[in-house]
Amino acid sequence: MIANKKYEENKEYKISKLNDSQVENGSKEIGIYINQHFLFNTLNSILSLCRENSEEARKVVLELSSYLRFNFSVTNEIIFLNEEIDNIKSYLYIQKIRFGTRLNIDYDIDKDVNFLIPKNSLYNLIDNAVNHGILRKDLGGTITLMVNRDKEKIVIKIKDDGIGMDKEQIKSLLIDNCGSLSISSTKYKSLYNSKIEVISNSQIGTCILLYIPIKNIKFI
Amino acid sequence: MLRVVLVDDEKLSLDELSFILSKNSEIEIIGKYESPSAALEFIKKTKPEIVFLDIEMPEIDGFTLAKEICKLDFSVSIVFATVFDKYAIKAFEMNAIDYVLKPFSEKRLQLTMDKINEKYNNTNIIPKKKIIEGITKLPLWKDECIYLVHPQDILYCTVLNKEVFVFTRDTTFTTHDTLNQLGNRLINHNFFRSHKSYLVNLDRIYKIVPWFNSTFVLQIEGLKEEVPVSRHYVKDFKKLLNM
Repeated sequence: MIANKKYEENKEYKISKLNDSQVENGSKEIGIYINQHFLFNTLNSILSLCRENSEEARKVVLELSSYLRFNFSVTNEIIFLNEEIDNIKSYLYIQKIRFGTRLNIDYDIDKDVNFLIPKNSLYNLIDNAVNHGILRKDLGGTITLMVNRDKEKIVIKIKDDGIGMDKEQIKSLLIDNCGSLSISSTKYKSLYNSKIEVISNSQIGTCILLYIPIKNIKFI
Repeated sequence: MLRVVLVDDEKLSLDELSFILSKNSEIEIIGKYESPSAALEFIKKTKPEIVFLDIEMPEIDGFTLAKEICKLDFSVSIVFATVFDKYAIKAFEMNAIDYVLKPFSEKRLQLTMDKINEKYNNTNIIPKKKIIEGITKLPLWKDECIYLVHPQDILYCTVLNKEVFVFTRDTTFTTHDTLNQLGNRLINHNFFRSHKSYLVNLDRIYKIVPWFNSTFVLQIEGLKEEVPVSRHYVKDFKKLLNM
């Protein structure tokens, strides 16, 4: 009971903190933009699949429903990591259908790790890695999502072997107030005093690492 | 047959578009490309009439590709395909023939095809005309033989007992064309319909004689016969000569 109460209090606190930052940096608009593009292209893919592979069309409709339900629920701006990952899986399942061999997906996720995170904070990074990293390469590439416990911290790693960035680009993305990278970085820092690390090489790819100290997570 | 190339970074979208378009018997899909740069190379080589272009492609976007296509030394009609309607104005500024939204609607794509067919049926006339202009000499009959006669040598043409006669300085030919058809063939050689039964070479008139009821009679170089300008054609005749 006590733990539960503490959890609720903590969650409320985190939510209010998070909503503040939401207003400040207008990340909602970015979400809507990606959403429309993704949505109509997915519907177009479903149209095509209905003729050639109706079983796959059914699967895509179900994954798209999960994705939409997640994004239409506006009440929770702070959610569990596993909810976020489920949404990412729905999203990437559909992207894989759309882009075929140009998009490969790799997950390495510790099952017993779960805690509250800002909604879409990882999704936005994944979405960027796919659209601005991997798909800009003629032959595409692989996106990797890793969530691992490493002694005193949780490490979340989003890696792609896309077109990569130079140091200047990384710098500007980290200070750009409207970009997903700086928004996620700010949110994780204010919530958990997390560190973010971005490693990128032109034509080799990008790796974003979030280090979250376990002592700052009250309710794993 | 109109040759079409489709460019979209998603294979399923290409499949859907080609499925709908291939129902149209007047077009032939000669290429489907997920890579815009490969598509550009193919377009340079094959010179298609129409290219369907997706706008949001991460490698090279549709507008950039359209600009490259516009630089080529042959004309290609572009149809943009996208999920957003906000690009419509920009698309038409780039002289796109049409702009279609995804998901693709068969009904809407039929309108696109109508636009395309209309455009190409109209412009098809131009090359045909060029062929006629290319052959300047006219095949005319005399003594059961065909002679090729240069329009400059024809003085006038007339109908007598439903037969069309063509006069040069010293020969009279006949033709299987009607006077109307002959008029169309000679339209670029300064011929004028002066009467329902006469077609005259304006360059060979040397004297215009005013006649009754504000009509005229034309005298032709080296001929005794005269060519009438009837009341019906007088106005056009005066206008032509700025009289």
